[in-house]
Amino acid sequence: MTARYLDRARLAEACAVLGRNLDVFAPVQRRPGDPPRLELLPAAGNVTLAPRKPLVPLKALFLPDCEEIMTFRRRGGETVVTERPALARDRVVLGALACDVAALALVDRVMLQDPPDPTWRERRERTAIISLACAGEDETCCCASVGVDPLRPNGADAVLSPAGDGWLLESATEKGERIVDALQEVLRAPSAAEIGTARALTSSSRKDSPLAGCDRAWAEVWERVPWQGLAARCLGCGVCAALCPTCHCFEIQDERRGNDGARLRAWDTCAAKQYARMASGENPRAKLEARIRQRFLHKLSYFAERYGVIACVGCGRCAAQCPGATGIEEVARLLALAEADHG
Amino acid sequence: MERRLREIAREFLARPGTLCFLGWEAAPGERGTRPIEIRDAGRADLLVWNRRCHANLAAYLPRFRGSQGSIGIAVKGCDARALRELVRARQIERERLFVVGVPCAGLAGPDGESLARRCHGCRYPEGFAYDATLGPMVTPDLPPRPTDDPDLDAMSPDERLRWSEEELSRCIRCDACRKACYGCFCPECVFEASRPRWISRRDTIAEKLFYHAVRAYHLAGRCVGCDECGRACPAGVRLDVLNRALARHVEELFAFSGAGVAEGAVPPLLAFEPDDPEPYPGGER
Repeated sequence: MTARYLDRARLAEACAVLGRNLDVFAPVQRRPGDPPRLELLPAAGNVTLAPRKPLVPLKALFLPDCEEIMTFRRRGGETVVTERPALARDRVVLGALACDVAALALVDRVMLQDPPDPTWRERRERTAIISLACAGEDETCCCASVGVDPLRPNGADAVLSPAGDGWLLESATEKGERIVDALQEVLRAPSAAEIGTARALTSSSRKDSPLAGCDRAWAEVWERVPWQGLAARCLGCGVCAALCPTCHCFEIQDERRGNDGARLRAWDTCAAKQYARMASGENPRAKLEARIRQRFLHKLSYFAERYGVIACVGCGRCAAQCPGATGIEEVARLLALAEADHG
Repeated sequence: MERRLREIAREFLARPGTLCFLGWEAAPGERGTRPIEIRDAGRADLLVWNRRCHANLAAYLPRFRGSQGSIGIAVKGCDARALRELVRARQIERERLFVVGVPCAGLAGPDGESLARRCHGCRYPEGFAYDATLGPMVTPDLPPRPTDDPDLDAMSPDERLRWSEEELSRCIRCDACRKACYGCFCPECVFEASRPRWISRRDTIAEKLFYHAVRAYHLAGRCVGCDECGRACPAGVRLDVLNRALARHVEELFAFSGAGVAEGAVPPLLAFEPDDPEPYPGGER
C-alpha cells in the first residue's frame, strides 16, 4: 500500500466524501479551550485533528454512556419486544489517538469473549478507525510505557501522520484500504519531504512509567499499599472512571411508563458508592478506600491475572482530571514500593 | 508563610488527642497542589501554601463524623465560609477543629498567572474565630466579575433557557460536581436513590437540566462560591454562573448575608418564617 497525502485545506471535503456512504465521527471543538469531543458529522464546531485526547474516550462510540437496548409495549395480554435496530450505515472514526484505540482491544477481551456482546461486536465490525499519529499531549501521557506505539497505533485501520500542512495517510488493514480508496479524489501523492517528515515524527509519551511491568498478580503486596492515604485526598467524584477508556462496567435499567417501556444500558462504575450495594443494604465496599482499591486493582491486578495485560493504556486522563491530582500511575508506583518493602 | 504553616501543623500534631492536619502538598509534575492529610508531625514539612492551593479542604470534614480526635485544617477565607456552614449543619463539631487561617490574595487561574474565576469579587467571612492565622485575614481587594460574564438575571426566560441548554449540553453526567461539593453531604443523594429513581440515565438535555437544577437548588443559600464543582468538571460547564445566580437570589429575596458569611445565620431555604416576603423573579405577587 502506497502512502497518500491529505492537505489540511481538504479535510472538510474529505469528511464530506466519507459522509456519502458512512457515518463519520471526528474530534470537534465547540468553544475555544474546550477539549475536543468525538461527534457525528456534521456537528457544530471545528473538526480538529490534533494530538488532544477527546474528553470522552473513543470507547463511548462502542459502549455509549446510555442507550436503549430494547423497547417493550404491552397490548392486551401480549408484550411486544423490539430489539435495538442494527446500525443503518457503516462508520468511520477520524483522528482517534493510539491510547484510545489500544483501549478498544482491551475491552474486546471482555466484550468479545463467549458469548460476545452483540452491540459491541456489531459496532467494532462495522467501524473503521483512522488514527492520528500522536506526538504526546501532556505530562500525564505514558502510553509508550504500556506497549502502545503513539505513532503507529496498533488496531487502527489507517494512520494519519502530520507532515507539512496536512497528513500522510497510510492504510494498515483492508478496512483502512477501502477508506483510502474512497478518499482518492481528495488525496494526492506525498512529496519525499512530506514522507520524510512523517517518518521522523517522535513522541514525548513517557516510557519510564511505573505502569511498565505492572502486568501481573499483586495478591502478595496489595495489603501493604497505603490505600487510606489515597482515600484521604480522594473526593470520590468518580471523574477518573467517567473518563477512563478501559472502564467498561454497565448497569441495566428498565424505564416504564404505563404500558410502554425501554431497557437501558448505562455506564456504571465501582468508584460509585452504590455499585456494590446489595438489596439488603449491605455494602462490601462502603468505604472509599475499598472502592479506590477495587478500581485500580481491577486494572492492574485482576485484569492482568485474567487476560495477561493491564487494563490501562497510559492516556493519563485520570491523573490530569483528578481534583486530588492522583491517578493510576501513582497507584502503580505505590504497588512497586510495597513490593520493594516486602523484600 | 509556608514555614509558619508547617510549624503550626507540627506543634498541633504533637499535642495529645489530635487525629490529623488537613493541608496542601505539592502535586506530581506540573499539577499544582493537592490535599494532604497528615497524621505524623514528622511529615508537616510536606505542607505548602501558594496561589495554586485551590482545594477547599472543608469538603473533607463530613467524612470524620463518628471518628475521634481533633483535626487541624488550613482554610482560605472562602473555605472558612464552608467550614462555618458545615459546623452550623452539624456535620462536624467546632470544638474538634483547629482552624488555621491562611491569608489569600487570590488564587491562580488555569494559566498560572491570571486570577482564578472564583476569586473575582472575593468575600471573606467576617469575624471568623480562627485558632491561628498566618497573617491578617482580611478580604483582599480583588476585581469584580468581568462584565462579559453570563448573567442569568439579565436574560429573558427564553434566553436563560437557551443559555442553560447550550451550557448544560456539555455535561457528561459524571456527577463529579456533586461529589466534589463541600455541601453535598447527604448519606444518600437523591440522584443515587434507586427506589424510586428520580432521574433517568438517558443522555438528554432534559435530564441534564433536571440534574443541574436540583443540584443547584439544593445548594442555594449554602453554596459559598468556592467553585470546586467547576474545578472537578472535566467538561468546563459554567456551574459558577448558575450557582452565583441562585446565591444572589436567596440573598436578595430573603435579606440573607450569604452562606457561611455570618456566624449563626441559617440559609433561608432551610428555615421557615411566617413573614417570608415570597417574591420570585419575574412573577412578583
